[in-house]
Amino acid sequence: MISNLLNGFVEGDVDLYGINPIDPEDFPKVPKFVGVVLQDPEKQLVMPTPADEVSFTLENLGFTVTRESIMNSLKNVGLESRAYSPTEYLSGGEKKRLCIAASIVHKPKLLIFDEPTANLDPWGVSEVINYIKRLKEEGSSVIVIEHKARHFLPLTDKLMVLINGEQKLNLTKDLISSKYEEVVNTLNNLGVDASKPNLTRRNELYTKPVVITANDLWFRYPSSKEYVLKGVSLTLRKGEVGVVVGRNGSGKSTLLKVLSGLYKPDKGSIKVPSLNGINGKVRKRNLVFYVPQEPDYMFIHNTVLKELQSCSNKSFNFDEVPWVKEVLNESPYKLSHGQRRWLSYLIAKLHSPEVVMFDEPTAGLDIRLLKQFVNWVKDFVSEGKTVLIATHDVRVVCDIATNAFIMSEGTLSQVSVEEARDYLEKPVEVIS
Amino acid sequence: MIKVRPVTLFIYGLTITVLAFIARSTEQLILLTLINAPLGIYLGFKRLKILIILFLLGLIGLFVNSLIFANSGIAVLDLQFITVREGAITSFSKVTLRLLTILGAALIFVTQINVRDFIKSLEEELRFPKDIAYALSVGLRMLNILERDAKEIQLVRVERGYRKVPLTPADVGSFLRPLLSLGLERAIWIGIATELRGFALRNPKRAEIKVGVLDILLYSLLILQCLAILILA
Repeated sequence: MISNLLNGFVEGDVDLYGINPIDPEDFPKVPKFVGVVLQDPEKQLVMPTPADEVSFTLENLGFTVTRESIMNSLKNVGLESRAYSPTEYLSGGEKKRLCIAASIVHKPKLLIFDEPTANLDPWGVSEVINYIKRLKEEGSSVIVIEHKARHFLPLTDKLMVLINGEQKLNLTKDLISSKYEEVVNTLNNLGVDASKPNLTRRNELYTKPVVITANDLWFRYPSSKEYVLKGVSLTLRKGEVGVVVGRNGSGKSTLLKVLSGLYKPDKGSIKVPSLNGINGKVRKRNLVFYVPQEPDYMFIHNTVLKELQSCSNKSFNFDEVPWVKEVLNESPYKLSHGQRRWLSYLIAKLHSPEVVMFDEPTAGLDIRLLKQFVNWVKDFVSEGKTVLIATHDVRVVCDIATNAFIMSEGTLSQVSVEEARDYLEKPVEVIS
Repeated sequence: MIKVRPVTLFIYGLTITVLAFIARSTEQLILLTLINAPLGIYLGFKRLKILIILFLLGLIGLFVNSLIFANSGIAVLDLQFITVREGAITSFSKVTLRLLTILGAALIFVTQINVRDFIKSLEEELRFPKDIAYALSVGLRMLNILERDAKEIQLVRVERGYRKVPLTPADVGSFLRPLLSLGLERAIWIGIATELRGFALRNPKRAEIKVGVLDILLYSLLILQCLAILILA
């Protein structure tokens, strides 16, 4: 891929079932032997339905497409009942399974997964792990590239850690199973997320003043008859870090948008005491700010400087994020993904909100970037601000949450942070 | 369910677009618009509402353009600060009718085709190169994703104190920038993913063009419109 599709340069040779994938002559033959599942399903699904998606691979590789071959392939990943549903309506886990089905329908000898757990809820993660386990049992070779190594350690025959392009660790199955704890510690020290996160105790904040109260919120999209929020109530206090956990499609993002005043609830009320209890004025003073998962949605201007200037008249403290000084005249879209995420946090902060709502802020982040985010949130709440995070990431729950909610089919229930952690861990633990 | 073949829809859409440019008189353009625009907007309103709204907003720019470049002839309307003349009205209405015809034909096409059938049809029946057929198909598939992106961008614009719907050129720029950035990134990765699924090895078969009842109806409608344009010329 690097030398043939991304204009990169690779030195050396690779022997893959008798062909050299670096050689432009041999590269087109690679898909015959290798199935590749990329990180983001949205960037690899090209057809309108799962059945079309699977057929596309078969047609490309010259196989005869039959209804039976399509349905068998979809049955393997549990999607036979969705064969002719529009791809848009599939959940994140289903899309990932569809990518797998489309990549292996022709039974390649080797399967490569690029961060298979990114953007997935724990149920989606367990589906993918289960599937990889089955492929292994059936005799396929699988390469998994992953930040969250702990999910895959029990399945691993060979483990390699790459840091800045250098091979820092190379272990075999025998060593992993005989010295499991030692391996986990070594991986953690190398910055690989290998152990179960520990819950850090935090001060209870029940005596602090309330910053936002939502009461009996009901909401549905105009195009649907089904309510996404069904009588949701919640209270957030000053300095609190609330987390909302739940399956993909349970209504977490919608809740954040409703609380931010971006969507008007069909029923119910949102009160922000600093607005003297006036309903429906959340938006007017930007007291609640929503940060979407995709940072590119946030940018309006063509340079970083203009983005920052447009948010606030106050001068920007560059000591907080020194790299910003280097890229002031760059387009926000030319920054790395991590930097773009960071810029979206800065934009939110510069609007001086009382509450910031983050939608999946750590999806696809490695442990280094995750720690930066955690520290940023800690600094932010130490200034008396409040944060609500919709997440699947158990690391976020364990590291910063002071208050937790479980969202399920449009209803919200307040739980302890321990319960939220267990809720996210259980589906994956069953597999391990 | 009986469906119109993708190749028929493609030929219909392409021919109507060409007719919209060939037609010179207002009568010709009204005829084309009356047949294609209501049908296209009816079929596409639910799925592609935002595209239709953006098109209607674009008409403001079109009117300003007519005022700047074609405001000549008899005065029709005096608004104190500007006098709207016959030339501006004629130019605006002709271009609007032309664009409405094309929008209608495009919506009929987009809402009725299946992307995979479309690629196969273009490759096998019309013998298009596979890269062009595939690029067109991916473009169509991306419409839904673009619409979702546009809605998210609108939300953030409101949050940041900007107009939800772009009206000025600066608004349009700031609205399109994230859309293009996301679209470009997606296009690159979709290209890579497609190559990794053996697209380079794709070898389309050749097939004869087949027609069904609905195809015959659509071809008849097309022929009638061609004849009407010739008669009204």
